Amino acid sequence: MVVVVVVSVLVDVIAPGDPFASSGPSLRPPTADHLMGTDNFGRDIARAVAHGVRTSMTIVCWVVVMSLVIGLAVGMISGYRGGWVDDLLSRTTEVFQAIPLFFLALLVVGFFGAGIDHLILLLGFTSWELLARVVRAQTLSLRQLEFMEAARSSGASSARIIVRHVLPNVLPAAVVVMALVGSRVILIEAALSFIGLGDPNQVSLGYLIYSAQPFLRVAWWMSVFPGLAIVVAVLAINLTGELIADVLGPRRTISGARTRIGGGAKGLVQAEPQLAPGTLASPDPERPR
Amino acid sequence: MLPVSSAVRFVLRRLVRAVPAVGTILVLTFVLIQLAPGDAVDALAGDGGDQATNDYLRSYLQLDRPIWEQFASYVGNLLRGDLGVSFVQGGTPVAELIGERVTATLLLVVTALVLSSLAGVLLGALAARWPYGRFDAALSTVSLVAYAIPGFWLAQLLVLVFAIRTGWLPVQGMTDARAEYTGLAAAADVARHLVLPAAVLSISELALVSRVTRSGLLTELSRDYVRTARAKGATERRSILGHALPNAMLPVVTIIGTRLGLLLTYAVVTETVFGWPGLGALLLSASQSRDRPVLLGLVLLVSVSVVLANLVTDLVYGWIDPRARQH
Amino acid sequence: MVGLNAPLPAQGILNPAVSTQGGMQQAAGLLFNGLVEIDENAEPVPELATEWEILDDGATYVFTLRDDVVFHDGTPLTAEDVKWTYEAALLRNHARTQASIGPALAEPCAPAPEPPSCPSIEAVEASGSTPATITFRFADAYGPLLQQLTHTEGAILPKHVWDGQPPPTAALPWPEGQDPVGTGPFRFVSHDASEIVYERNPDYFGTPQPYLDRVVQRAVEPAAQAQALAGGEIDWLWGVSGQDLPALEANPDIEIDIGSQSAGGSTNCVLKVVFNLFERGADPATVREGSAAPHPILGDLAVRQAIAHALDTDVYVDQVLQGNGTLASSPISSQIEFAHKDDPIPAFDPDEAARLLDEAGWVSPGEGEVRTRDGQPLVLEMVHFAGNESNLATKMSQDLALVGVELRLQQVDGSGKTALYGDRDFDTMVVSHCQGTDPEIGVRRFYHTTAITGAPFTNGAGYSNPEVDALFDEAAAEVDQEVRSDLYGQIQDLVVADLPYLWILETVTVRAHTVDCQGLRPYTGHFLEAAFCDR
Repeated sequence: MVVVVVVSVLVDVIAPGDPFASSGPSLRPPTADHLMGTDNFGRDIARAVAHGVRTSMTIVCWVVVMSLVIGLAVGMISGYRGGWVDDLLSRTTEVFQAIPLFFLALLVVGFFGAGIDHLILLLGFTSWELLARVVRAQTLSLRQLEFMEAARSSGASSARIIVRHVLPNVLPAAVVVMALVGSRVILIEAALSFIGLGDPNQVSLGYLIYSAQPFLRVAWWMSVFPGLAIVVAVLAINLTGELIADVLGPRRTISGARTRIGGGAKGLVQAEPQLAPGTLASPDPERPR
Repeated sequence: MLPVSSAVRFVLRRLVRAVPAVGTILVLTFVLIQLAPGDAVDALAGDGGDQATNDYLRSYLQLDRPIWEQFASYVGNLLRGDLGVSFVQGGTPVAELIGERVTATLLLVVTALVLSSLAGVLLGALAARWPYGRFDAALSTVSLVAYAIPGFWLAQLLVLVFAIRTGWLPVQGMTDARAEYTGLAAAADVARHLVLPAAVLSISELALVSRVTRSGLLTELSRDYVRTARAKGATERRSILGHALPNAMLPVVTIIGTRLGLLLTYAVVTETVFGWPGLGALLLSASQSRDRPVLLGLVLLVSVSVVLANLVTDLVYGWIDPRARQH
Repeated sequence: MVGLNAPLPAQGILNPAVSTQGGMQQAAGLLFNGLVEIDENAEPVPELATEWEILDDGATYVFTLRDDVVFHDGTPLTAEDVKWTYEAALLRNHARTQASIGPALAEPCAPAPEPPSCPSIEAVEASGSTPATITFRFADAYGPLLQQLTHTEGAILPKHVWDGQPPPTAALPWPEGQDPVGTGPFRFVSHDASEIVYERNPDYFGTPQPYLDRVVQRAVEPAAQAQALAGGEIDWLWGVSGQDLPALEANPDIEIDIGSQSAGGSTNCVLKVVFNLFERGADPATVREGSAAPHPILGDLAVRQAIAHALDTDVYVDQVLQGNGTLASSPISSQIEFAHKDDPIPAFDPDEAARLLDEAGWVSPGEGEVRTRDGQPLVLEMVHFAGNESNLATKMSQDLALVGVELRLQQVDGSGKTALYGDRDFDTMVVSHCQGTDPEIGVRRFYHTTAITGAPFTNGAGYSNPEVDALFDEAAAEVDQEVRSDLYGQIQDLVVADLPYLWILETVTVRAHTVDCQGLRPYTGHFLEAAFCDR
């Protein structure tokens, strides 16, 4: 993750110059000059990959921020207030959950052009449903706990309770979910670029693999390195999510029973079932355990 | 099992609740297509038609009527079970266009789902048999990486290795076009073509299922009932297969069910790489030609299958775990 | 087994008279015939017509029809079929035919949705020993007709199939449930999502051809094409990508056909950039009258010239087309005899580009930065498709960045491009179009004032020069090829000086087939009519 962040932030230092500018002969295999070879336009793949990582991470950051704001708000309010507010918000969440996201992204980007701003808005406004459901479930169970009762009876306002007591407790789970969303965003962007719906003004990792497609037989390096970069970026996001969640400390885990499992896949394994349970119309996302 | 009437009521209630979600998605898609630059007549005109003819085409396709009227007429037909006809494919019924291709996509998706589920449960169980052993650690690492691999990239690499470099497997398509196989030979032919795309689609699925199986099993194995079974002299194998596994299957079933919808849409990308004659190509061409009836038909297909998959998941769930029925 | 580089056309649209979608050309060559075909030297040769007579100094054409032609359903071909095909289908729906022949006829045809009628096309059926004839009457002499009657430009349909039905349109090319029916060497058998199957037409008038019993058409992913051919999955591949060429050339089982013509006689396609000379979104009518405001950046000739000088086109053939083509050297394709021989297009000269921009007031705030004028940055949008067009746009943005012009790329699909072209809502746009065998077909419509219509592949620049208009009109009515050559030379000098477009690359089509199959006609007529496979 450190590598990914460093690359994203310091891309202009590590790989200076316009990634679109040609910097040598075309379709050259990796050499000391061009560590990852050059593409059909004579562009340095290493530089393009560095810029691609930044593009992907930019999209991820924006989408994560937007989803966090919407998802936390909807989830906490829904879980804390209950009643018709909960009903309304849960129904809305269900609708978003049923949207075939990739399908929608494909239409939007196909129709209106592939600006990353379109992609960020679209994914940002549609990626929060999982978070909302997880947070709502957590808030619901928190509400029963004694310290919440205590806070309520001491006359604290709802807003204060939500911010002071609910938020810190749902945050670790939120981080794990966001890591999941983040890796999903990278893969969606890459997949869209890959079917030719990427933003031609931004070097992204998917765009690089897409342009490698016709040259697969003659220039493997055009595809292999950007692909590896995606794997590394997705891994990094998942592992970091896990790490942050651990640092944020003791918590109720999302799926209840928590066992030691190797590596950092805990978040992955624990959060994924939450994709499932609520299903389209389940009133209680906590149900399957 | 549930009493029949309550099961039916459950199913009906769930279906009714799904209507607003599916409806919203239809409206959204309809509006998006309306807002998109260009319409189906622009696509039909290709490199330029006569203005009078284009006007005539717009009125023939009723694209000159107000949008709400067009939507109302679409919904009216839909309620009668009519998906309409394609705007740009010579008036071919949407049901026929989708029907021609849905088998290929389902073959791919279901194969991937079954393979990854079986293999995933097996690997997960092996890992849980000797937890923290060498196999477990290897599986952990591999599945973590596998989950991060973009399918289309893996597809490129597999094509490079297995089709282009070695020539072992066909590069694209679903059948060998030259040969006219029948019976078993035809099935073998399709199977050969199916290997690479199904492998690509299974891989992240496999990673997920094996991890969930493993952690579920470990949880169950530490529970009292398994300890009791062990104390009574059940072998390790029997306590895993006979006692813990059925319970550990709950989250696995959930995952498999919900991933169906995702797989259906992601299959688009995999199909593109392998020239698989499924819904993917239809979706892309319909989106390019603003072929609204086809797009709406596909959206409907995907969202309804998500609803149904979730429903079936919950039913299976209730069947495996009596506790869940109370909800 | 034929591999297509385009998506497979849907069964319902297999009607080349009303639809010009991708993949249609190949299907047309199997299923249909035109009145006249074009041979490999672009000379007209008899097809459904046995002979023709040109009267009234080129204003009237009389074609004599073959008497032994039957449609695939067994019905004999009549003169009425031909007349009806033109008035009901081709002159209403076929993009190129309706735009070229339609306006030139002596009397206009009835527009849709009126009943089809073209008073200037007359059918006389056969009687006794007199064969059937079909007559076209034009307002003035019309030179290019014989090039425009091929199976791709004028496929003849069986009228009786539409008895009691509305005539075919792009939305409904065949009546519901009707399989495609033509007169061509092969008959339609079946269609599904992955392939179209044809079989030999035993009643073909060209008997003993065709020799093949069965033909299967399949769309092949570009990345998999070469592999499919080398691995024997397909026998015949339309459109080989440049990067696959070396491997295929080295393969002793594969033969390559490189050429500039495609079936039906459309010649060398030119990849060019359209400059919108008027402000974005201007109504085509106001542009035609010249009353629209000029484009704030591109309205200035110096900027257009600077862009032309900024392009280091030496590497373009390799990097944009992967070697499959040449640099464009004149507005008219080098495959047409009227092409300008002196390569008048501005050459690569970045210093000159910088000088022109400085003079025009676009100054650079610093090395590598985007030029500005009165605080406005020199930023242009470029609309393009994926593939070669996207390569070209990428390459141009690289080159223009070096002289301080920022090019923002906007990749669109077909409907999007048509809509932007119609609304004139673009700065620059990449357009690839094939010019056909005569400048009347594919060149005139980019330059003539009357062609500023907003329809795709017309005068998208909004270019209007009375001198050029007059020269085009004169050339169209001229029969003497020497004189025409001189007129087209003058036109090319004028348009290069005005630079409403930038002509960059000419693409060639590369086809490949297995050595087992021979007798393929890559660039003319019915490509499989005389083919046979040895196995």
